[in-house]
Amino acid sequence: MFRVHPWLSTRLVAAAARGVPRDRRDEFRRQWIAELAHYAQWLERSGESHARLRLLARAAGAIPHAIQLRVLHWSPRMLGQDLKFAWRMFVRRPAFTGVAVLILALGIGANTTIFSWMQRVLFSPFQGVTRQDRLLAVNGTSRTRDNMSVSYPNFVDLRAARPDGVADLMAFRILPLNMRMDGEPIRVFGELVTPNFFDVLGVTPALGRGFRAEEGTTPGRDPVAVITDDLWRRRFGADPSVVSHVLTLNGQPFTIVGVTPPGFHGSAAALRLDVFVPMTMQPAVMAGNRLTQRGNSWLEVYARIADGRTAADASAGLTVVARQLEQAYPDANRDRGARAVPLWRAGAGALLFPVFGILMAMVGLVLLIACANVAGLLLVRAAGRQREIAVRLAVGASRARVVRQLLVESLLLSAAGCAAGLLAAHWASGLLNVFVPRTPYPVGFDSGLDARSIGFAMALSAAAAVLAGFVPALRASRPDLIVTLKTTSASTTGRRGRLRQVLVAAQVALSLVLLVAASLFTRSFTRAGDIDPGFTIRDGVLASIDLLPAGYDETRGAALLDVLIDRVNALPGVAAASVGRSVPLDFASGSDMNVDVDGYTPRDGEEVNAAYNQVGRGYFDTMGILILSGRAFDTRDRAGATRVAIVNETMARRYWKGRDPVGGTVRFGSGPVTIVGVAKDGKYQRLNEEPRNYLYLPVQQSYRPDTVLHVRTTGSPSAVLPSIQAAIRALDPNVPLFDIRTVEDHLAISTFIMRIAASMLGLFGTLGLLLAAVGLYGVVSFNAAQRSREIGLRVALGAGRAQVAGLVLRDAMTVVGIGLAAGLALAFAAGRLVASQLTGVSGSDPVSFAGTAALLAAVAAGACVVPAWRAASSNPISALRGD
Amino acid sequence: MPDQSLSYGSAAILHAVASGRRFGFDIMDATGLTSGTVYPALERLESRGFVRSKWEDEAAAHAEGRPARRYFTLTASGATALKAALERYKALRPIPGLAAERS
Repeated sequence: MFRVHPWLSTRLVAAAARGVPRDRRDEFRRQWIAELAHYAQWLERSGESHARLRLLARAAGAIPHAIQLRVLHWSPRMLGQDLKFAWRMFVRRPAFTGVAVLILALGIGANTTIFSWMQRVLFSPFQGVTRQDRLLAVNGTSRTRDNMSVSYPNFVDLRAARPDGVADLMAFRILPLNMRMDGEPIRVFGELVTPNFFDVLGVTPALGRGFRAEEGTTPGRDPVAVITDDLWRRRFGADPSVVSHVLTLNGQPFTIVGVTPPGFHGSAAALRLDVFVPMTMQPAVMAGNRLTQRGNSWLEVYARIADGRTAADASAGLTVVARQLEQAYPDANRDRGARAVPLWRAGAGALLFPVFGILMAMVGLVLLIACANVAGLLLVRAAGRQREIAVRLAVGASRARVVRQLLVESLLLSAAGCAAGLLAAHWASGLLNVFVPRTPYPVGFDSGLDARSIGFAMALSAAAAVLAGFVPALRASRPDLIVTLKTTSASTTGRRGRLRQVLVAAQVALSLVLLVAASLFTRSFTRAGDIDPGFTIRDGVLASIDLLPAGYDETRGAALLDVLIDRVNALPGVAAASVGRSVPLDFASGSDMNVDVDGYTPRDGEEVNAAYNQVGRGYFDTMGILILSGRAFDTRDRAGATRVAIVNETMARRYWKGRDPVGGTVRFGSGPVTIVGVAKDGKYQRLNEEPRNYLYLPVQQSYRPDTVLHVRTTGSPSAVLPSIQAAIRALDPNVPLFDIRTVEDHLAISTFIMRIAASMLGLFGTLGLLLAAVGLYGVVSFNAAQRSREIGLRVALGAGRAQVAGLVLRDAMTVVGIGLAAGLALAFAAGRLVASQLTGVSGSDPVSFAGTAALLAAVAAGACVVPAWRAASSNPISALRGD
Repeated sequence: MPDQSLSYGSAAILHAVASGRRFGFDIMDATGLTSGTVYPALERLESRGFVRSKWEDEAAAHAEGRPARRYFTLTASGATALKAALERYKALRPIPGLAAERS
């Protein structure tokens, strides 16, 4: 005889068997008993460990098996019947159908919109690029940082070593370009790319060709360019003979050899880049020759994972090669490694990911609220169909058959909701662009839904159908036949009524979470204005200048900047003017370097690293940055004089420990640099960053041809702008000002992400609030109708209207109260999760919690008062007469 | 013309049946797939007419001291579908368990 197997496994099979269609159930049981007996025997013979667990795991297979039999049993013909019947039911109740579809459409549409944004920005950010999930961003690493660029010699060696698991590697660098065809130069953004750039991305030019391998070998030899379809249409009128045209980039002639297919705009998420030139042309379009310096990291690198290999394989392969490069070039590559990360953790994705994650979770809540709402509606409707369902059960329909019918009805509802939601999402997918502030970069997000977003919406609506429909279907088909057939619908409340109340409480709880999140982010957005960024300039103009294409060398360029600062300073309406290479709070990662501080011995493994900015004299006055000790830069600080720098408070505190840094020295590159001042700390990249090391260098000693003119104005910035432009033109008509923006515009960039979060969460919070109010209204009306006899009796016996309304209201508000309590607990948990994304408010901000709870309670009371009052005003005679 | 294409897992199971693995336990052993995959897949394959099933004689099983088994055999259309599937999945990695197949 075979052994008796453990109890749990047999129970599991027995439970699964209950779901199997009756005619197959016996066979199902026999088959599984045989299977388990066999396996138990085998387990015993082979002496495997955890035999009981293994047996249980095997028994678990009975569940999908039972589901499969159930699905096969449900033939297409029956599905057709169910659909036809469901359709008839909906047409008969257009108001119910319309409301349910609208609610589901809102939920599904909101989710699909956010999903499509994530898809566009994070998971497949580059239009026209094949298999983006097989691309990895390769970052350089040091002991303290893991998101560094890569130098050209290191890239070349990395690629030549053919890392295991990697099909190919390419490198690029985004750069602004002055493009001239005929007439005025225009500003475009482009990329310096390795010749295999298009191959690795899987992009085939629509016109002409991409780059040839030999165009990446000899510096300066191949002035060729590929342009985007967009630029081709915008600037060349879609002229098919554009190939072999010559255009000028930063003063150098380039021959157009190809046009990319429509939609493609480069390899940076959310940026629209227009021109591509071979890497070896770098010295022609950028300052300095960066192609030979191993220590100069300035490239971004993407790797395509080899077919049949995983991201982990590729990452491991790259790490191995990076280690070899460290050993081969110990000077330039000490402690330098490489790390491959998915695209969404590089660039714009890394900034937006947390916010999108929060938005996705919040729209998930909106959908849950929508489902609870529709479930409530279905329960109400099922109550109206009790007799129909009871009759069906009485004449022999199985419960499963009735449940299936009801589920098909909710599927049909959610399918309609899905279609409407997709339409809404299609329109809303481009809304992200509304939030984009004016930046010097060509930021733009694609709109429209891709196949994955559509699939997501469909999967979501199927889930919503089950979520909203399953419990009501089970409840409606409960075979307490006799009771139902005997009685009228008016007196059956009991458990069904309680379930509706649970659903309403859940809606209240979830919408409170939404509202709290919305309030936290809105308050964080408004608080951002109170954060001290370390500078006081508010009215002013920023404009970029690039002296390289205008043909200036270092000596002439530095001289021009000197004169330019004086000329602009002398203009009426200008309070102060200067230049600086980077403007604080623009999210750009900026430049940093390793610094040796004389007299400071780093701890083992510590790296002294500081971000830096090359600024002109008068910069601190223009920006309103306080000099706390020593002096600001002035005319003394010029090329050939003692090299000087100004440190910020954080550096002074960390490396001089209470002593005055003025007079101290630091070293980077070559020779000592004397500290002449300490500047007040500021926010350099983003408002919620930690204090960081910062160094200011005089532009006259650390020359940069690309810089930004900073002007503080006494009045309206736009009034002063024409005279600034005229002054520059008078100086040299070949030096254009571009990316002109006000300081106010610029500061909007720093709050861009917070603004997306605050606006969208505000919208979702409102949506959740509305849905909860609608749900509450419906349930209170229904419950009052169910109790109309009781209410009629009370009124007949002399109860006042207010008294009766109070009774109904009290019941409803108890449910709301429970929902609020649960919602507060959930919101506290959610607040902790989002705290890192907030600025100036804590995750448990009492104002947000108390304010939204009060708002929700008020709206809920409003939604209850109307039906309560109506119930109390009904004529007691007709209510008592009833039917 | 009904869809004749097979998923990876179904092809592996059909291959196992074709090579003489005739019931659930044996098929799992050969393919390395879980019970939650094999059993539903067998039902699907039977409903598509690729395999046929028959219960073993009760008495014969008891004589061997074990419960009766539901045996699966390949049908003609199953053989055709398997041939097409093996053609299609040839370029991919070997199906788990099939490499050690006794044929």
